[in-house]
Amino acid sequence: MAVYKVLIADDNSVDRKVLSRVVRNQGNDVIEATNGFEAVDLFKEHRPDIVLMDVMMPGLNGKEATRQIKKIADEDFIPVIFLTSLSDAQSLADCLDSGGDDFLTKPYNHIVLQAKIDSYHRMSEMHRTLLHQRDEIARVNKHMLQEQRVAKAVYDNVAHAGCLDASNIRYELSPLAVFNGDVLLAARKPGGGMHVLLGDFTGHGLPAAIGAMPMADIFYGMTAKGFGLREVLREVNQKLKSVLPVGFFCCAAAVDMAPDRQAASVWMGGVPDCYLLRKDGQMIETLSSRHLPLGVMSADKFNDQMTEFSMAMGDRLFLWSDGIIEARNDFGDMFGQERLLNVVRDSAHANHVFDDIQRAVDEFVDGTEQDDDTTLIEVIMTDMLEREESGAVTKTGNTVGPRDWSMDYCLEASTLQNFNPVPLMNHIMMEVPGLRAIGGQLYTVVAELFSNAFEHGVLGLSSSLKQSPDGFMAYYQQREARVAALTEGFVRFRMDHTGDGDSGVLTLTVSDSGEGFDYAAAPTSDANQNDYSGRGIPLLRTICDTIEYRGKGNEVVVTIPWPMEQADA
Amino acid sequence: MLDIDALATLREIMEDEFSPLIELYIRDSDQRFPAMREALRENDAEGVRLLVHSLKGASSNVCAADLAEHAHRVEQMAIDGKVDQLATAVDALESDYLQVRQSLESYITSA
Repeated sequence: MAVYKVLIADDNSVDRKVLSRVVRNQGNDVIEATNGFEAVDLFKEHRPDIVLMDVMMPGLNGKEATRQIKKIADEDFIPVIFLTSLSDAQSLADCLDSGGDDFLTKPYNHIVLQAKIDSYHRMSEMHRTLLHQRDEIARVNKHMLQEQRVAKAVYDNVAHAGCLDASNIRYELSPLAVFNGDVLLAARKPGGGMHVLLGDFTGHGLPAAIGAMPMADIFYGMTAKGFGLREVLREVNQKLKSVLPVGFFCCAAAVDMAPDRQAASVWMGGVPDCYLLRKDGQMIETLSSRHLPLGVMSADKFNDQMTEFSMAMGDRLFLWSDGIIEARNDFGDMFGQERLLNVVRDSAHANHVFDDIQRAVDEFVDGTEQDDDTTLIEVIMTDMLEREESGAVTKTGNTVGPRDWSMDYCLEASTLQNFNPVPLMNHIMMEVPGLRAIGGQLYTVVAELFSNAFEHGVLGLSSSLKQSPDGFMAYYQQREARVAALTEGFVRFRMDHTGDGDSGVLTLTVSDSGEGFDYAAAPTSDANQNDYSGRGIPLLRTICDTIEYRGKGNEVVVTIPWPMEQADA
Repeated sequence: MLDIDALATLREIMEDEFSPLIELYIRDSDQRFPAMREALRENDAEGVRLLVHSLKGASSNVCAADLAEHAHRVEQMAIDGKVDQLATAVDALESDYLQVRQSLESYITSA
């Protein structure tokens, strides 16, 4: 049995001696006080576990001494048991009202006395445990918030590298959303256009934030290097699959906005239906998830198939996580897909849809505590050709790096089926400091030349198909079928660069195994108009100094001098 | 006058502190009667009451139940403000006490 420290305060020395002896005989330590003042002083000095206090004492009586002791004890629970010879109900009740925890009537029953001391000791222990746990929780919580602040700061540095603030984007995301598992990422592609990704990680708190980190990193890194959205998604999926525990994944909607072909490619996995709203606000197209969330499938089973939608300038896309659909009102009803669709349909103007959705959800939940975040983004198709400022190149840094070099790179059929060489080509050119300033334009040129050589040359697809939205679909279906069936063919790159460190000329030669085309008849002939413009040659003309087709039209040579005249950009 | 069985139990509980406890009781109580008379002279009924109250508690602790009961009656008298009867009552209480004291003294010397 534990030894308790018991303070006995009684001015009657005989009473005190007997009680003291009894309490000591029961194995406790006793401190004796002969009046109220002494009781308070001895309490401060010895900090006993429990106090047995005579009510009537000269000087400072028991009730007042108890008040002072309780005040000194502060948060600690120090039980005070009043000792009294009074036995009427009112007197006993008065004892408790004045701050005592219990009373013991004289003459004492020794068994009850010990039982009470034991009982109050248990209560004190419980109280101590409670205080300790409360302090522990407060400490842990403080620590956790501190960690979240740091994690948030790191996350912001990674995630806010993008262009969520672009003029064609509106979004709603709670400031601490990273700890609710929702992620919004947007980045400009080097060749124009934009990648947008809305993610909703399973779970909340740090596990969700940890998954968002590599996702944002891969998304921005690969987009900036010129990788296509499919490759980005493939990489993100593989990364999440390897870092997230089983049962954790990321529902996502990813969009490749391509203003040059007035289309958007969409990949959706595990997110609710999203809507595409035409400029006039009349036609709504529903976009549905066709895939499992990111981080579920292994790399070899991952499906990166995108769905292509034609999007004219001014058309807008609305994406959201399930937070909006699952927002609940006081009665526990969910906002639901139907209400959402009605809001979109009933909006007076396409411009008002975003605000109308926010307002409708706010009115619906009306102050109910939200268990999930309502993340919402609106992306409008614009030419989006404004580039992010390239602060990377300094005037003085141009003299280092490769000056005179060339390379040949030939891709055979089996490589062409599943490998995009454009980021690699871009990477090699970016080693020349002077070319970094025009990285976006170079990317466009290489991408355009490669796509011409591969799609029109090797695969033999006709660009005239791409003139109508229906043809667009057919084009991509044909492309897919022919890629799958491809057994022979090649695309060959040759890059030549000469320079003196302050200026230079890049010559790109791209040839393919295809049939070529009648380039001589090109710019004026109606018959070849589609083929010609379909090959993006007007676009290339704005960037390249010379464009020369050779042979039967399956070899093209372009030259790009640098530094470029700013007026051309 | 004394509950001898209870007193034996008390001696068991107090062990070597039993005789000092009885001596303490006698020393305390001896002082209380002059103090009661002093209070009476000053017409201080409350002072009398507190002293009698203490005697009551102490007496019940040393197993003098009759004396404690007698003290309780005097205490009630003081509470009721019967100051004119208190002088006689204190005398009677003291004579009761003196008998208890004698019994206690013989009990500890015989033990």
